[in-house]
Amino acid sequence: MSRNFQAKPIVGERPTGAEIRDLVAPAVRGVAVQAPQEARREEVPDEGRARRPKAVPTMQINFRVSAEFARLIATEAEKAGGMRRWFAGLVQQAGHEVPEIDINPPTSRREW
Amino acid sequence: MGVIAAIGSSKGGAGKTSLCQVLAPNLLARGWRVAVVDADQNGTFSAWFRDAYEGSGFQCVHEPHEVRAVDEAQRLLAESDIVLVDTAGFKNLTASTAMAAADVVLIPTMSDRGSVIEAIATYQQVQGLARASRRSIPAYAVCTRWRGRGLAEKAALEGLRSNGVPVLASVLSDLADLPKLTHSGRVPTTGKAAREADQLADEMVQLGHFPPEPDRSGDSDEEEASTPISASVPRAGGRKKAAA
Repeated sequence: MSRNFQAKPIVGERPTGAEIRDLVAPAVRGVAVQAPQEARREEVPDEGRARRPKAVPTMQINFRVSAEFARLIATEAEKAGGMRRWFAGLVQQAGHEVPEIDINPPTSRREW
Repeated sequence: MGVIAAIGSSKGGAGKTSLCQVLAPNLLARGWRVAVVDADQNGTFSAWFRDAYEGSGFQCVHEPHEVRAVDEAQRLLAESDIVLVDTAGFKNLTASTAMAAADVVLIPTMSDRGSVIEAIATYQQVQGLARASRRSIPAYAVCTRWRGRGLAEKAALEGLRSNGVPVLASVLSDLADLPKLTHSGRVPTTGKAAREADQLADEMVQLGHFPPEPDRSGDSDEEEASTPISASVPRAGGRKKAAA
């Protein structure tokens, strides 16, 4: 056993996470919180920007699948003209109202 | 009694997760009971541990919340000698509470100027946390991606020392093994990377921040006696025995 083991700066029971957070609160004022918080959206006055058409808000989705299933998806999506179009068609067939932008998404392909 | 060692730096890419990846399995190979709390929102360590790591023998918990990360570290401490807390690479509340709860803080730093500046800032942050929690929190810079005698390395050491940051003599060299293990999940427990992890552990023991290396020879003998030969695998303390 090493004789100089001295890492016992915390005497007695260790403080809990909440106690430590309260203890160091003055030292961490303004420090970013890492865990996800409720999204807050600030409203910005839209004056002077009215002429510019607003883009439909979109978001990136992703998921993990087996290689075999990925190949099936790729084959079917190719037939439908894209994965988004294919999914939109499937969801529409299931009886849901799918936004037009997802059924016929604008192409971003450069054609010149 | 176990220790919590937080690995923190306000700079991303300084080598926090790499240090954790090479240190945890090598501490385990030396016989310490190890656990890791991945307090980084990105969960790089825990994803690697879950999807790639090929070894076994230690627990890893992904908890980016500032309170729960500390509670998890303390819970794991009940059954571990060393709990490593890998934090995110920016100044954030979880890293702050983890460092405030730690017995020792390791601050990985590379030799570039940005890394050195952030290492100094992190060291000063630890001092602030120590004052706020009314106790001493020892913190050390750990040189990562180090190239021995380079001019940048010399300048980095001067910068750190002139700002009062204690620097460990042990370094993690710029080895191909380190990025490779993130893909293969095979952490070298022999060779230069393992030797450097050993040196770091030894230095921490000498400084009194890690508990002394446990002598588990009795345990392994008992286990060997009760374990069929076909099922026995190299485990705690095995490397030292093999070397002897």
